[in-house]
Amino acid sequence: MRTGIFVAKGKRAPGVLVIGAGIAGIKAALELAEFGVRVYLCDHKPYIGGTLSQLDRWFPDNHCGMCKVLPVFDRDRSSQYCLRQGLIHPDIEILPLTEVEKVEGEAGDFRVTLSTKSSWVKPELCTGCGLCAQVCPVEVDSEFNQGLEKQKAIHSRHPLALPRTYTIDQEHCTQCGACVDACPTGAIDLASTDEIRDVAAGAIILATGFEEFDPLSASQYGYKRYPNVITSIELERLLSKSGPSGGKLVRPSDGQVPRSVAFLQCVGSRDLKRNYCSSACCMYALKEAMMIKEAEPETNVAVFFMDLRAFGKGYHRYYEQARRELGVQFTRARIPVVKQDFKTEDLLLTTVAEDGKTITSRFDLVVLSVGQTPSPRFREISEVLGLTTNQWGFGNTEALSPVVTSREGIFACGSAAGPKDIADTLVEAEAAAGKAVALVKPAKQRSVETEPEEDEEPKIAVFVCNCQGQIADAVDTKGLLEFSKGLAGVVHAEEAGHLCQPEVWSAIPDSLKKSGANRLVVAACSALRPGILSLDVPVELVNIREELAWVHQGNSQAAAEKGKSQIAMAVEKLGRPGKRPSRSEEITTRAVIVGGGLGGLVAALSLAEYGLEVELVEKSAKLGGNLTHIHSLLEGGDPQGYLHHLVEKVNAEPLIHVWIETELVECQGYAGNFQCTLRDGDSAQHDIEAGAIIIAAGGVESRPAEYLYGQAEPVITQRELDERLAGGALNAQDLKCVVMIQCVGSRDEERPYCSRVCCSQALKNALALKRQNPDIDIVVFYRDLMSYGFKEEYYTQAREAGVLFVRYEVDRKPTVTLDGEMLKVQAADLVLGGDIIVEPDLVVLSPAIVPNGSGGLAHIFGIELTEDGFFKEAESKFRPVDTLKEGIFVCGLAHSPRGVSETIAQAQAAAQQTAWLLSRARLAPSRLISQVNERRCSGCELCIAACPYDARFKDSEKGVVVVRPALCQGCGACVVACPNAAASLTELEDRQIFSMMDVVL
Amino acid sequence: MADKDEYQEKKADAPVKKDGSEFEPTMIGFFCNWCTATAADLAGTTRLQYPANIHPIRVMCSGTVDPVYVLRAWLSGADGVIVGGCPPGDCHYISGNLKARRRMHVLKTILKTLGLEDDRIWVRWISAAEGRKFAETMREFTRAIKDKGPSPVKDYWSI
Repeated sequence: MRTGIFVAKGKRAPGVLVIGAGIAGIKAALELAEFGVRVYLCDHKPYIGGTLSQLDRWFPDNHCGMCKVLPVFDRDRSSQYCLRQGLIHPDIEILPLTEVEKVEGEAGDFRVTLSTKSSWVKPELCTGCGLCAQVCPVEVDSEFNQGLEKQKAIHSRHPLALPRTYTIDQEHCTQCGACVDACPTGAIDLASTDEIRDVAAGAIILATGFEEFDPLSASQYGYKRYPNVITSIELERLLSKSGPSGGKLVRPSDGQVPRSVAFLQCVGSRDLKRNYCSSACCMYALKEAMMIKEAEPETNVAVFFMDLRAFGKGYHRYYEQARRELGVQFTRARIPVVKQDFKTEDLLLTTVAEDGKTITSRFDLVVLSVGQTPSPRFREISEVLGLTTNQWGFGNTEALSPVVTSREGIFACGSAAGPKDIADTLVEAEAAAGKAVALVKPAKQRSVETEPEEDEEPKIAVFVCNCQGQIADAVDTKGLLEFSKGLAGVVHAEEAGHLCQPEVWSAIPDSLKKSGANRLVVAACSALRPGILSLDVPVELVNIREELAWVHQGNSQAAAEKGKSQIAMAVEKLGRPGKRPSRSEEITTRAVIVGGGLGGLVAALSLAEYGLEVELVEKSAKLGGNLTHIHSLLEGGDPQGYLHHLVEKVNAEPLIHVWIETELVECQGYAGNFQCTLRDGDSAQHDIEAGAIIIAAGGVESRPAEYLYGQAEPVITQRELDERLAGGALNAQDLKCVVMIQCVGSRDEERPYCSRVCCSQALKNALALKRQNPDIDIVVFYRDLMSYGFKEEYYTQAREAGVLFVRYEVDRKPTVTLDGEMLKVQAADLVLGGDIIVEPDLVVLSPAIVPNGSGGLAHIFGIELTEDGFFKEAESKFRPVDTLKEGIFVCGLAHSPRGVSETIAQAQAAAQQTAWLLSRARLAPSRLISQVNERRCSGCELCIAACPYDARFKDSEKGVVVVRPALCQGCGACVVACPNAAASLTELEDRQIFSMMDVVL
Repeated sequence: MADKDEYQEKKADAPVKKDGSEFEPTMIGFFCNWCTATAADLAGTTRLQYPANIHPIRVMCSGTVDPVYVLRAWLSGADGVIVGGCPPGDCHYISGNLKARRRMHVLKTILKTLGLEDDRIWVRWISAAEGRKFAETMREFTRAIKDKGPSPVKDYWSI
C-alpha cells in the first residue's frame, strides 16, 4: 500500500531548519509544526517578528491581523494570543541570536552546525522585571523605535514580547556589572560564551527577509543632516501608538504637527546600483499617507513617484481611495535633491511640472520610501548553504520553480528571493513549507481522539507569586495567600518567590499530586502564559504583576482588594468547569480541484506528493488552461515544455483522477466532509466525497471593446502576438512599426484593478520583436509600468533596445483609426505637448484579465467574491489562499490576476493548506468550543447565521442545532445570538460569568 | 413621575461622601483576549498607572459579551461596565467586534429610551499596541463614573 509522504509510526522524521524568524519564517515554521515536523526557527537577532513587528497596520485594508496566522485546529497546544507577544508551539524551537555555521549532507539528511551567540541574559531565569535597566548607566538609540528614542544598553526590545527576556546591546555595553548585581535571579552572566550545536535537518528554509535601504548612502536626500527627513519605517514608529510619541505625528526638529508631508518614492530602488523595484513601497507609502490623513486631516500629503505600482489584489482601489476620498496628492517626479530652509528647518523640493515650469514646494516633513535590500549577511549565509545569489544579492530561484533554490532540499521564500509584500511572502512561505514537508515525510498525525473528561469535583490549588518584591511591594501577597486558602473549593495554596524559575515551575505537578488538586489558579505574571500551555490540568492565570502590581502603585489597599477579587473570580470560574468535548470527526482524505489549468495541475501534483487522492475537474476538453497559450516568459524558461511535462505527470499519477468536459454542479457539507456532484459531457452525474476543495477555475483575457479590436485585422492582443511569434505566423522582419497599448479595460471605472501580467507581457513581446528585428519601431502607450521586482531590469533593457514608452492619462486615451488600409494611432504627448501620431503595422492591446465563471462557483460553494468578481480570501495577507469557508481554498487567476511563477507558488500554497487539513485522520475539537443544550434549543437558527466558521448546522430530524466541534473556534458569537441560552462555551458559560461578577458586585 | 424625580435626585447628590472621602466605584471590564487584554499587559510592562476600580474579565472576543452580562452587572450594582475589543476590522474571529458594536449600540439606545443612564456603559476599541490608550481609557472611565456617582440602580430596584 502506498503511504505517500508519511513514514511508519515510531520513526521520528528529521526536523526542518528555518533561517529567519520574520513573518515568512514564522508562517513556514507553523505550517511545518502543524504537520508534526520538528522545526528549528533561528534568527541572528535576539527577537522574532522581523520587520513586521515594527508595523501596526497593513495595506490594503489598514488593519492588523497577524494573529490570523496562528493555527486554527491545534489551538490547545499553541499560543492563542497576539503574535506580538510571541509564538509558542511544542514543535517549534526558537533559536534567537543563532546563525548557521556549516551545512553538510544532502537533501533529507542535512547536518547543520548552529552557533548561538551568548545573549549574556539567561532566558529561563529572566523574569522581565526591569531592575537591570534601572541601574544600567549606558543609553543607546532604541532599535525598535528607529533611534527616535533612547533606551538602556540592557532593555526589552518590545515590551510585549514573551518570553519577557531582556537583551543586552553588546556593542555599547561597558560591562560595568551593575545589572549583574541588580538582577534578583542571577540571570545575567557577562562572561557566558557562545554555544555551538549540531542539528539534523531534512530540509532548510531560507526566510531571511530584507533590510531597509540605508539612505545615508544617498546623500542627496539629506537624511540625518536635515532633522525633518525621515525614513518610512521611522514614520511607522511615529504613527504607532506604541511609538516614541504615542502615535501623535510630530516632526523631529520642533515637535510640531507637520502641516505638509512629502513622500519620495524609489529611494534605494530603481536606480543604477539597484535596478529592481522593491514592490511594496508604493503601497506602504499609500498606507502611511492615509494614516496621516486620518490622524491629521488638515495636513497636506503629497507623493512624488515615477510609476504608482499598485498591482496587487485590491491595491488599485486603495490607491483611488487615497487619491479621491482622502485627497492625497500624487506628482509624477523623481526628486533629485532635498534642500532645507535653515531658518525653519522646512524642506524644499524642486520639481519640473509637465508644462516645463520649475516649481519649488515647501514641506514640513519629508519621508523617504526606502526600498528592500538583501540583508548584509545574506551573501555569507548563501555561501555557507552553497547557494548562489543574483546580481542584486538576493537568492536565486527560477520562474517555473519558485521557492526552489539551486541546492536540493533548500528552499527560499519571501524577500530572501526578491523584494515582495507580505501577501506574496506568505504565499511563498506556505509553498516552501509544503516542499519541505514533502521532503521530510513526517510521521502520520498522532492519534487525536480525546478522552471525555470525568465529572470530578473541582479541587483547586492556588499559587501566588510575589516575584521577589516586584509584586509583593505593591500588593500584600501574604494577604492574597490567606484569602485564597479561605475560598470554597481551594484545597491548597502556596506562595512562591519566582514561580517562573525552572525548578519552582517544575515542582508544580508534584505539588498538585500531593494536595490532590485537579485545577490550578496561577496568580503571577503574563510571562507565564507560555508555561501554562504545558500543564495538563485546567489552569486560570491571574495576572497580578502587569495588570495589578505594576499599574496600581501607590494604592496598595485597593490593589490588594482587586487582587483578592481577581483570584476569587478565577476560583469561581474553575469551580464550575464545563465538560470537555470528546466528539471528533472522521474526514475524507480526498480533495477536489476545480480547474485543470496551471494552478489546478500544480496543486494536484503537490497533493499527490503528499499521498492524497485528487479529483481534478476540468470544464474544457483539454488540460492546461491559459498556459496553453503562453509560449515564452519574460524571465526565460520554456512554458510549453513545462506544461507538457506537468500534464504527462498528472496523467501518469494514479492518485489523480482527471475529469475533462466535466463541471462541478453542486457542493454540500463542510470541511472534512464535502459531498460534490460532478456533471460530465454526457450530462451524467457523479457524486464525489471530498475533505477539501481547491478552486483553481482561472481567469480569461477579456475581449477588448475598444481600439478597433475585432474590426481591423492588425489590431491584436499580447497573447495573440506571443502565439503568432511562437508559431511563425508572424515574422518580425516584416514589421516596421508596432504600437502597444496597456491597461485596455483595466484600472478604469468598470474594472478598478490592475491585471498585473500585461506590462510583463508587453515587455516580453517588445524584447522578442527587438531581438528578431532591431530596426522595428516599438511604441508602448502605458499608464504606470508595472515592472515590479526584478522585472525592472527588463524594462531598462527594453528602453535600451530603443522601445519608446509614452505615458497616457486615463481620460486622454490614445485613439486608433483606420484610414483605408493604414492604421493610425494618435495620443497626447504629456511631456512636450501636442500630439503623437504613429502609423503602425500592428497594434497590440493588453486586455484586462477577468474571472472565469466565478459567480456560479461562488453560489455553489456559498462563498464570497470581491467587488471585481474574484474569489475573496479569508484574510488578504495572513491567510492568502483560504476562503472564508473552512476547507475551501483558492489559487491562480480565480484569486486575482497573477503571473505564471506566482500562480505556481500559490497553487503549492493551496495544496499545502489542503494537505494540512486532510493529513489528519480525524478533526478533534479544542478545549474551548461552543456547545448546544438541546433541551433549550428551539431550532431558530440565529446562531447559524452568527457563526463565522460554518461550525453549526440544524439537525432537521431533531429540530435542534448541532455544533461541528472541529470547526468551532470558540469565539462565542453564537452564545450571544441565542435567545434561549441554549448555546454556551465549554470553558466560559453564562453562569461562570455571573458567578465571577457576583464576586465583586 | 415621582419615580423619575427620585432617580434624578439620586444622581445629583452622589460624588462626595459625607465624610469627605471620594466615592470609589466598582466597575466590570470585558476585555477581548487578542487586543484589549494584550494592551492591558502592555500598559503593565510600561508601568502606566490607572485606578484599581475596574475588575477585568478576559473573554476570547468582544462578540461573546452578551448584553445580558452587561445588564446583569449593572443590575447587580456595578457602577459602570466597559467592553474592550479589537478595532473594527481587526477581529481575530472576523466580525465579532462588529457584532459587539451593534449589540451595545442597541442596548444603549434601549437604556436611553427608558430614561436610564446609557453612559455608564462604554465600548472602546483598544488594539494590542495601545497600552497607553488602555491606561488612559481606564482613567477616563473611572473619572467619568466617579463624577456621575454611584449607580442609582442598585438602590432603586429591589433585585
